Amino acid sequence: MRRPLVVLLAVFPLLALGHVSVTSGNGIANTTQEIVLGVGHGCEGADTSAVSTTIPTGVTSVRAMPSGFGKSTVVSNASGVATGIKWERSASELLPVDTNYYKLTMRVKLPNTPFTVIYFPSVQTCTASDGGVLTTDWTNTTGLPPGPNDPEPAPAVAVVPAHKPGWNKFTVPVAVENLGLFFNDAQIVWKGTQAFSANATTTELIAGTAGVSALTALAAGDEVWVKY
Amino acid sequence: MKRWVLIGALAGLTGCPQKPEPDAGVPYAHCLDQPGATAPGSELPCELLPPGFKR
Repeated sequence: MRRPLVVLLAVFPLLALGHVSVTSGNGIANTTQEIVLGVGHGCEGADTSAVSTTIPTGVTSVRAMPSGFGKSTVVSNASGVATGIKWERSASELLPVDTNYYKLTMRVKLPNTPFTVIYFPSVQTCTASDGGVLTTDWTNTTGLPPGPNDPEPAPAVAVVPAHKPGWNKFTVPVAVENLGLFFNDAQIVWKGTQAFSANATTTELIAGTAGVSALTALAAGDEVWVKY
Repeated sequence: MKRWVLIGALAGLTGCPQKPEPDAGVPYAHCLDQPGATAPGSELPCELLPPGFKR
């Protein structure tokens, strides 16, 4: 199994991007929205023939969106609760080589758990032109770079509170160590006279502003001002 | 002439509002006078300071 190139930024760690990853950005807590999985590559030169994604507990109102990739099916348990989605293509739709990028969309409601990461473990199946089948497990939910014998990182969504353009005031329910993960699209985050920004230029301005210091982490219960 | 002298005297008695002096204890002083003004040099611009921010 070829290991994909995964770049982790040391200063602002982000969710690792692999062949199958979430490309729709942060998720909004307690909100129905589209989550898009991007399939960047097939397997060792073979085209992707199927992707099976597990719907984690707490994610509800699951609907699969049709796409050009192929048939999408919501898988449910005996109680009727959606537990997965499978996207699959017929043999006639397969390409002889791995040249295409695919977008697989689901519409779901995320739980009311802001400042957490929700994983969508997925298995990618590829079919080569000679009929050979390869699979890659994108099921690692540790949030850490995988070791040589570990599965690849699962597609993941960083969940943030609902917000509007301009200033938003939040009380953080859990400790947040990785500000860059959850506030990568915010202009600036303030806790008292401490500030954080994922924008390197703004970070320099924070350092140059009298009476202001860098904000590096949040504790549960902290009140913050965030400008989007 | 007498009319304008009288008007000027009345203005002094009623205390026309004066431009406030910068004060480190009030919200970022230069942001008060000129909304949208940018801070000098390498400091954060006013629009990135949170509501009620005081130095």
